[in-house]
Amino acid sequence: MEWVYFGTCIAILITMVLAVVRGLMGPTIFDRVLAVNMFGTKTVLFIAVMSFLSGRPDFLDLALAYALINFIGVFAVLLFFQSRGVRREAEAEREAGK
Amino acid sequence: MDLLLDIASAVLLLTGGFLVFVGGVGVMRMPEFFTRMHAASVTDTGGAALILAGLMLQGGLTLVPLKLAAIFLFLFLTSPTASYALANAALLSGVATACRNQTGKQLPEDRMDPPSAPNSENSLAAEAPAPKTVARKSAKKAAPKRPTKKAAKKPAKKSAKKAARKKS
Repeated sequence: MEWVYFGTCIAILITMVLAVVRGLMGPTIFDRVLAVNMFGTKTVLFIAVMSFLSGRPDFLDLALAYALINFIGVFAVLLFFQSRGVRREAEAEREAGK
Repeated sequence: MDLLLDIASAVLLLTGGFLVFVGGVGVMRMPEFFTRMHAASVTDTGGAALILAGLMLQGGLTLVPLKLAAIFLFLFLTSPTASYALANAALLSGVATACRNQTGKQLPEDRMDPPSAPNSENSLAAEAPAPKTVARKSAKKAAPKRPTKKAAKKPAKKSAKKAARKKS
C-alpha cells in the first residue's frame, strides 16, 4: 500500500511545483491568486496523504486547519483586488476634476 | 476483504493523483485565465474527492474517516465559493475580456494574456472588432465617441487602425 501513497504524494508535489511556477509567471494578478488557492488545496491533500504514509493520522487536524486558513486568505486577497478597478476609477475622476 | 479494500482505495488514490497531475499541467499550459480556472477546478473536485475517498477506505473504524469527511465537506463548500469569487473579481476588473473577441480565427497576440496593464487597452480592443462588416463602422464611430475620457483616446485610435488594417 505504501507505493500507492508514495505515487499520490509525487503527483501532488508535481502539481504544487506547477502551481508555484504559474504563480510566479502568471500574467494577471488573478492567475497568482488562482495558483495560491490551488497550492493551498494541494497542501491539504498532501498532508492527508502524508499522514497515512507515515502512519500518524493525527496530522489530519493540521490538514483541516490548513483548509480553513487557505479559504480565509484567498477571500481576503480577492476582496482587496475586486474593488481595485473601482478605486482606480474614482482616483482618476478625482484627478480629472482637479 | 482487506485485499478488496486495498485495491479499491489504490484505484481511487491513483485516479485522484492522475487527475491532480492533469489539473496541474492544465494550469501550466492553458492559454487564458478562465481556461486555467477550469483546469484548477478539476483538481479541486475530482482529485480531492477521489484522494479523500481512497484515504477514507483505509481509515478503518476510527475517528480518521470522520476527520477526512470533515475535510471533504469543507473543501466542497469552500472551493466553489472561492472559484466564484475569483471569476467574479476577474470579470469585474475586465481582465478576462482580453480574449473574448475571437469570432473565428484568433490573433496570435490575443492568444495569450496581455503582458501588463490589461485594463485600458485590451478591453477597448476587445470591444471594437466584432463581426467583420460591423468592425469598420464601429471603429470609425469609436474614435470621435471616446474623447470624454482622456486616457481612453489613444488606445481607441490604435484599435481603429488595427481594425482597418485587418479589413484591408
